[in-house]
Amino acid sequence: MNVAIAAPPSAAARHSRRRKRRSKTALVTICFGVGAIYFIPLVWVLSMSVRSAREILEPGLIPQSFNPENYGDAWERYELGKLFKNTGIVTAGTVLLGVALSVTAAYGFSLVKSRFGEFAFTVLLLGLMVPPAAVIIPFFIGMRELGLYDSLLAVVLAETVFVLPLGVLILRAYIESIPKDLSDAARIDGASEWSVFARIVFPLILPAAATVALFMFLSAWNGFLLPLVLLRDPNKTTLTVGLSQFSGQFGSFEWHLVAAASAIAVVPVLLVFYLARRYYVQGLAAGALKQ
Amino acid sequence: MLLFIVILLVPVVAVIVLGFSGWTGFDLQQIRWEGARNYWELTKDSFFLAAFRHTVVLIAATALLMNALGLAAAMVVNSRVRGSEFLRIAMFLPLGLSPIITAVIWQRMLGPFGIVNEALGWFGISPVDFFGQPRMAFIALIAAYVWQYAGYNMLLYYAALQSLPTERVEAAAVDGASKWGQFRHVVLPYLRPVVAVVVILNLIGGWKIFDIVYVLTGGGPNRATDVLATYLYEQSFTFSNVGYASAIATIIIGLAVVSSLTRRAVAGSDTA
Repeated sequence: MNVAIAAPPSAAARHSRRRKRRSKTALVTICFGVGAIYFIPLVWVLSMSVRSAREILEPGLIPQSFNPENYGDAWERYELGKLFKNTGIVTAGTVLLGVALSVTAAYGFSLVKSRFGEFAFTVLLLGLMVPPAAVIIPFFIGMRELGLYDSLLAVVLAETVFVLPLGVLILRAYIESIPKDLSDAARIDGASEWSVFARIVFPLILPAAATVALFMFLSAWNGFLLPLVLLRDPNKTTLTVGLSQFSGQFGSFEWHLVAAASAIAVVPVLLVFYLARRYYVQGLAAGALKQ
Repeated sequence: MLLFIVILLVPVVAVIVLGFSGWTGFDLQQIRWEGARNYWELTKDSFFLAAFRHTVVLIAATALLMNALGLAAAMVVNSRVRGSEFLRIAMFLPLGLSPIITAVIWQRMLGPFGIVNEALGWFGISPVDFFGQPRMAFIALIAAYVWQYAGYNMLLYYAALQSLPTERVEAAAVDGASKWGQFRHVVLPYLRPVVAVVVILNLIGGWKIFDIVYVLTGGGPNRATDVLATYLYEQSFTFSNVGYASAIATIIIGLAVVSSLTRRAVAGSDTA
């Protein structure tokens, strides 16, 4: 190695610098190339969504005509307002209930250290592993026996159960990283257990709660199996179930409208996802790598 | 906490118990207990065995591609060349999509008038019927799945690369190791435990595959892409074979739990 350092800038060194620059250009090309390929499905749908009915069989990524009225047509034709409302109710309910339950449960887990608590935590980890499809039958039967079948409440409750384990896991880890001295000091000053939680712990865990809320939002908004199984009334369907149905029914000859509907369904979630990406990455690191 | 145990544990126990019943039709009066008969039937059910095989193939193929692509992309993003942010966002966005949307889009993209067949045409390849032939339908599923989830692996590897000791890489570079040598002998050994964890996470996620298959191929053509979860769904909600479906569900739970325990064992032995 000494030889290489001691030698003056030679032809070989210049050559290697040039090679370095060339490999860098190659990397940049790969970045933009692969990134562009990755964007094709989304760009293609957007392109289809503004085409005329005749043009949907035409090739290419660039539409020949521009028909933004497709969006209004799709909204009316597939009653997207209704689907949006139902999906919104399910998502809001799941996020509110899920965050409330996972914050209190995580705080409980961190306060009470008992063998029973450890067992409950193991059950929680089991909840992370079990695929929703595998326990859909008891959910279906249970909701029916409770008289909740075909109600949005059933979907909210079921979605909450599936998002809860990850929420508790992330929040518990976060709460345990808060120095105990803080809450102990407050207790010595005579603060009640509730005010310790409300005034000290809760404000500190807000970033983690945001991460948890984001995961719950995504999972409820994008959920498919639970609304598919737990709802029957077409007036209560959610966006994903509705889209899968009319894509199958009309997709071949109304693809411009189905594409517009897909774009409408995708935009809010991608916007939230993009803006909150920091929280997603944090949650991923906390949830996936440090279980 | 008691509430937790009830709502999380009861469904799992219920499925396992129902797996021993000959229940059909969701009518609580008609439960009959038949011991392990469902499992005996499953060993002879060629549709179930095929669904199991398809699930394994799908998991193996997607995990391989997602790890290769995810790791490569993470290395590129970590090098911070111009455009790496673009690549990161491009791979990240599909993670926020519903698998249903992915399936709806890919179904058209791979269809007779889709952009994929158009692109194949440029190379003089005649249009491919992606959903009419078993092998092609598999490729369609793998492509859509990898498109959606490779970003997940990229993010995990990227997170791991943040704590890569750069002195070690620099030392190797000073010693005259090529880029590939640095990757092969310094970065890869460092990431090995992370790779193990990510592969197992993919495995756990893989047993859950339902939405994308249900909408993209519907398990077709002629059951060629049926997976465990879609077969379970069909048995329970199309044929109302609740007991039989519960036995399938128990097997899925078993596979998922075993995969997770492997993950914990791996995480325990190495520090990941």
